[in-house]
Amino acid sequence: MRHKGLTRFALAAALVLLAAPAFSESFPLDVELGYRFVSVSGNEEMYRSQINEREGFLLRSLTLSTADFGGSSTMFDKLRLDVSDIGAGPAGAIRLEVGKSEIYRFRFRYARWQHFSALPGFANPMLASGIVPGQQTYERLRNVYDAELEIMPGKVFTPIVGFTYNRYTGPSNSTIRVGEDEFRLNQSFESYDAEPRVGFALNAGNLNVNFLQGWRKYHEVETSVLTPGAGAGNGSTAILGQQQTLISYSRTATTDVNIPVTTASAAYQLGCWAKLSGTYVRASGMSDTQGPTDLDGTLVGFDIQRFFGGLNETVSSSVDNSYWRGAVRADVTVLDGVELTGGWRKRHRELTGFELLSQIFYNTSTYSGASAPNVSRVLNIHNGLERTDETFDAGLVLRKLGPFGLRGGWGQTKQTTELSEAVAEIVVPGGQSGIYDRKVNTYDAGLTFAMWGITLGAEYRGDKAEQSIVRSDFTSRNTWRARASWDLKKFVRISGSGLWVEESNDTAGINSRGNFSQYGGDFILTPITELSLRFSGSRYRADTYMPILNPINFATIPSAHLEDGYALEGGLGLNFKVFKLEASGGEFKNTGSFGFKIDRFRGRVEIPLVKAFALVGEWAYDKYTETVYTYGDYKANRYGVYARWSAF
Amino acid sequence: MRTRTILPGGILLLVALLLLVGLVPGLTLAAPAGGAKADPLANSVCASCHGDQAKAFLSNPHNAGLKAKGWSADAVCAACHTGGQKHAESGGDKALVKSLKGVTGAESCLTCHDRIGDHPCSLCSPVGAQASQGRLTDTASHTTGAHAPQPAVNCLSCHSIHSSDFKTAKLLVKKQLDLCGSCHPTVVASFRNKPYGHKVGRGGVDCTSCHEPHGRLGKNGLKLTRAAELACVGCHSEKKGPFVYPHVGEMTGDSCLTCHEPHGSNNMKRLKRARVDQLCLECHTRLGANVLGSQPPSIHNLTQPRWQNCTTCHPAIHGSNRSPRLLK
Repeated sequence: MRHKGLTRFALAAALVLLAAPAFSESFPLDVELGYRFVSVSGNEEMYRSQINEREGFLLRSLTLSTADFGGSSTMFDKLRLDVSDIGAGPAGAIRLEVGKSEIYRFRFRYARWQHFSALPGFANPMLASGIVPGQQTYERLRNVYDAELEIMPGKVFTPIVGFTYNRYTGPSNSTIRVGEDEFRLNQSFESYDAEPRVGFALNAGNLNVNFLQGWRKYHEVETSVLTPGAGAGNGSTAILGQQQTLISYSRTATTDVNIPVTTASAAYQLGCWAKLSGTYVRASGMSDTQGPTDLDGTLVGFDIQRFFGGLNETVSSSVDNSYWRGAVRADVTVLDGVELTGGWRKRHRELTGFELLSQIFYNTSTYSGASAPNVSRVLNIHNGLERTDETFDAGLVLRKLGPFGLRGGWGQTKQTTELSEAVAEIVVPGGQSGIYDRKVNTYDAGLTFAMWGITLGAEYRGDKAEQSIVRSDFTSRNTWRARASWDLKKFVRISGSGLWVEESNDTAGINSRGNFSQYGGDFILTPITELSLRFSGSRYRADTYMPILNPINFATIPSAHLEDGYALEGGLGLNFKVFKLEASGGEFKNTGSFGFKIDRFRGRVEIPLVKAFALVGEWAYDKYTETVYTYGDYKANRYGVYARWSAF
Repeated sequence: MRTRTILPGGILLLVALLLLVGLVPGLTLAAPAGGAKADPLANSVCASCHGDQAKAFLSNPHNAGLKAKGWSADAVCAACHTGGQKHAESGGDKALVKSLKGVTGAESCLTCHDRIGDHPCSLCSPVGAQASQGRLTDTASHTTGAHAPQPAVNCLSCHSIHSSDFKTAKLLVKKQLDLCGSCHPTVVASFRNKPYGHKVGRGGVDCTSCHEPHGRLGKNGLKLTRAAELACVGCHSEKKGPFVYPHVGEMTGDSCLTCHEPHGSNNMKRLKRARVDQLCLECHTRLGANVLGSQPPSIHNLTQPRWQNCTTCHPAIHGSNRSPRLLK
């Protein structure tokens, strides 16, 4: 499989390089292609979980863009192709946009991500004994394709056809609780989300209407088997005198979702002073899941008050989901540079869930060891959720007050959530059903100034709520932003910005508070065109507190989270005919609840060889260290050698 | 865990073939045999003085869109730079031609890009067909959005009509991450300075994957999908549901952000708290007024790593169709 992919990639790379010089004779083209080497010392799985840049061939970038075909093109009069980081990954994309005036417009986007997670401290019951990584790990690949064709764009009637496909696959590890112990599982996950859609745009004078009808289909299959050698479970102690073991476990869960999605919008231009618009979205449909499970072992089940040797379980569940969102809005130009806006939107969701769970426990015996008959259990569970959000907002923008710009706004959101109780859910009664309301008033204002190369900006937003739906909701939140910059011609740029947030919930029993601040500055010096220097520094602080109940004894304990970090970075760029150099380095240190330090260096040198052809060398270095545990520490060097063809 | 490098050779092969097909004369892109292109600037008054700019502008989408409707090269220039004729007749008096700068320059852009109705450009429909890209009409606006033109920030702060970076789409002045970072440096720094975050600027994800730069105020201009959901589930579709037993996202709104910090986090799963149990118990505590959130039973011993990582036993944390306690 890998050889096949490698051959294709090499063939394609050769074609790209062969095509580039000939192509760029007529059209602007920039392409960079090469090989990346990777060297990691320390915890490679942590490196992959954070960075995941792999060794291999890499199409670093490709850009082709033109709208000048010299009158010779019959198929296109606009073309743009962008490719980035396709190959050794971990994230890459291809975007293509082509069109012929008044005939068609075609957009295509492809993106891929290689996801990896094998973290030492996450979902890891064995961390205390030094066993890494955790037991929830995965290596997945996501491929997303999106294509859309507009026929006769800009004409009175423009048909639209599109298709989106999102495929997510790969192996993973997880755990399952069976009896009174937990066991590791090897899983295989495969899903796709596909949505064909058709619609139209109607451009009739001052009226613009868009309508799209899509049909979303989601399919997921997850198979789970017992990890070889994991039959003893995570727990080491015998329960009621019997060791818990699992001999075999298999489960295949299949989920299918079918949801038609309707999107409609209309906008009307009223003279040159007002625009009215409305939107309606409806996405209602069904989801079905089937999931048989078979297992054998020596286990105990407190809920059936038996030892048992096997379990056969069938699950059949379905969801009926109804969702819509509607909105209307008016944008009015009161005077030149004075804009008023006001709108209303509402969304509503209703979900009805149903599950039929059938279990048969085999080879059962009582706690005293007497043989007992099989235990059969059927659960028929219904679950319901209804949620409504309604928002009004109004705003004023003053755009031409000399060097100043000013805006202000107000909004009010009413939220209602109603849940019906699923009987099987209740362990400790309370907080699992009922009607929960919340009303949030939002005020915001912003002022900007620009003159003599100086730019200033300040913003405030206040959110006030009379109550919360979940405990982590605020009842008061104040957000301030400020930024300033000074540009002295093209030689110097000094800029700084800051964000300060304070939020709280004074409701009795919650009494939470949180303060966040983040501020920093940049200094860029370009004494001559060929040289630029950059320095930046920033600080970040987050401090939150909320009382929580310790479940084991229901004592009130604090949940306090602190982050206190700084970043220092510097870099230089040299741009001469014979070579270009970019180099930067920096460090970030956090001394909060989860202390760590990141050191990072980057270097890139480009040496033009002939005509538009250049040789590029890249180096990237990351060092990651944690304060308390050292399980995850690593150092990673990546070296890249690329050929670049650049003619535009 | 097995490691592997995946090479999307098929996709790249298609790209290479597209380039090669483009070289076939007369079929698609290539210049006519012999390279005899008609000179589109032959009779241009503007090009006689501003030759380099006029030549560069030939590959600009604005030029293509107007030219297809029969506009001459000079008329294309005059679409934005009014007064060009007097400017030329005077021998180049700069005061006579409209120079697009600042908020007044932005007004020229909005003449086309914020207006419904007849439009001179044949290449795009600025306010049409946007819903298909998840840009609902009521969520974005050029005139009242967060980046509505004003002296400090306007169209020309981010877009350069004549000298945009060739490698950026939408005629942006520079690469998106650098551009956004020039006003929002601490946000961009979050991606670099925290160990866990989206891999922004390298392939699949950019600022505009999640944010609508012309979005209206509120919720930080977050984009919506066609089904009016948060942009998160546009990629993370397996977490979209609907589930028989939904979790936070479906109960408290479209809020992946209730638990996650997408810009960069100290937590391995980009959570808002360093430890998983902290985040969970802040809601799952029966203290306080009438709030939604169950209380874990007393088997949960927080002194052990097993119980500090709630997802050891509750892996289906985004919602489950099988387990009401999100156990599988």
